[in-house]
Amino acid sequence: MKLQDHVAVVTGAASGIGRALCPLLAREGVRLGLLDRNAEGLASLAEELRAVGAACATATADVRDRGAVHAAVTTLAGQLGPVDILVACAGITGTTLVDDLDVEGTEAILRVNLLGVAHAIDAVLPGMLERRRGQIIALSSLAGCRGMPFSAAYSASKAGLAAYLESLRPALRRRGIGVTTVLPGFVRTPLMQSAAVQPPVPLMEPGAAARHVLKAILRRRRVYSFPWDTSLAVRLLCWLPAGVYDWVMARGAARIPNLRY
Amino acid sequence: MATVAGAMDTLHGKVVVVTGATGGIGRALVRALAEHGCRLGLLARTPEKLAKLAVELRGTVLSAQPVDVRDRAAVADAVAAVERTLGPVDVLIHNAGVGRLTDARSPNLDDLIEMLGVNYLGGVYVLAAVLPSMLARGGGQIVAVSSLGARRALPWCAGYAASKVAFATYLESLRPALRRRGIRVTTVYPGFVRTAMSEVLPLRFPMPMMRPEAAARRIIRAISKGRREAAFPWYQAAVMSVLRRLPAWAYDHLMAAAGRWGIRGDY
Repeated sequence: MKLQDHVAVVTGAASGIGRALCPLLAREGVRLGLLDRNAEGLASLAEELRAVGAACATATADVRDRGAVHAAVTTLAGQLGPVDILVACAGITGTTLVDDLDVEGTEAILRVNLLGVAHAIDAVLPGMLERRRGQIIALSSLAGCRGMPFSAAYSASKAGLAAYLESLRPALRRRGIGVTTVLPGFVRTPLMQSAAVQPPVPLMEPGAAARHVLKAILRRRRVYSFPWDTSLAVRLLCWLPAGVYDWVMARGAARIPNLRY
Repeated sequence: MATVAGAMDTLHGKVVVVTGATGGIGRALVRALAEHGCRLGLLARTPEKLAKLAVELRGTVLSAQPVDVRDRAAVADAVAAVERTLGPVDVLIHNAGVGRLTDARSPNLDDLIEMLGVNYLGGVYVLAAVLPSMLARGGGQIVAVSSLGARRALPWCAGYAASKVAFATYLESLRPALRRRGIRVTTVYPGFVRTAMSEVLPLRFPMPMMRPEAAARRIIRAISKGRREAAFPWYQAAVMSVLRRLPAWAYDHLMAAAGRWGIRGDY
């Protein structure tokens, strides 16, 4: 699919996969609406993009704030035109331990990772339905395919997000709007660095991850997971009966130092 | 009414906290647990319904606490009040649930927030309230009444599926760690049960639905056997495990066809 002159709103644009994706979208001729809560990060990204001749606009908003997301999308659409593509990248993580459930953290993770995406969809969907075209892309996670140790709140939010998108997908597709759920593995992003547990596999660079996301957008894929090895491993885990799954996870988790599992 | 042999019954004398105690499955569960000789902590939103249920259960040791599970502080207080009267909680059953349809054309955010608040975060709040004493004693059981709808997200129930999937995944993450500390996690996935929640479904045909009493029996069996997961009725569970394994494109086509065939209105 050609994306020339399409308007895309990217949430979480100032860091991680979102930031790496913006130059790639610009190269495809996409007009970019950049949304993030980090104003400085947005400004430096916009400068970078304008230097290579990309059309872009910025809006500062926290995706947890429904009103702010609406206002931001309205501003961006006012400057760039009606939104054709939403790429929801904003996400946070945190550690959930049996001895410290971190309930506030759990709430925050849910509000950003799931409600944040729902807020963004809510802001762009009416326009997309009216024009009967559009594409909604959101970053879930391979960690949402099954509950991962130490990551109960994160896994839950990403699993919930994937379910939300999957449920909306058939009805929206019939109305010309594609829904793409991206399931990344472990990527070297600020989110990953904020996690207490580092993964047992090498991290992917954000640039490489962004190329995968771009591919998923161009091909209008329904579900797209990467890298292939982590994706395969997770798919195998999904087939395990609960008892075996627990045994495997407990073995893996016991090897993590400094955290009581 | 059949009585249950006390000596053989693992649930006899246990302190069981049930959220959503006055709803369809909740009420059936509570009655059955009372027959098993459990001491009951009943949590529910509507004080009048809760009072009525408490009267009905005369003779059972219980503590009824009117509480909205979305209110974290109130949940902590309610669980503390139950523990003061009955002692530490042996079994927690998070059964409170809200189910609303989601129109994909304009997904209602307030409904989504309500469902996430009750079905998922409400569960996290009660878990956080009972867990310290369970960890201290090195024993206990956490039970979630999820839904077969969490096995794969059906169209027209985006918010419900998201909330149910979230809590099931949350517990799955914690399950191995809790087991090492002597705490079991049981997630039950009921199919269609004839309750106030399932009455609103815009089905074009009469869907076979379980009676709440039958669902309660299945849940109690899963609890006493310490199962990690239980899905029922078997034929609906079988359908969902097939759907679960379909690739996204096949699932979408099937759901579009099923929607035209089985659902009233423009889904």
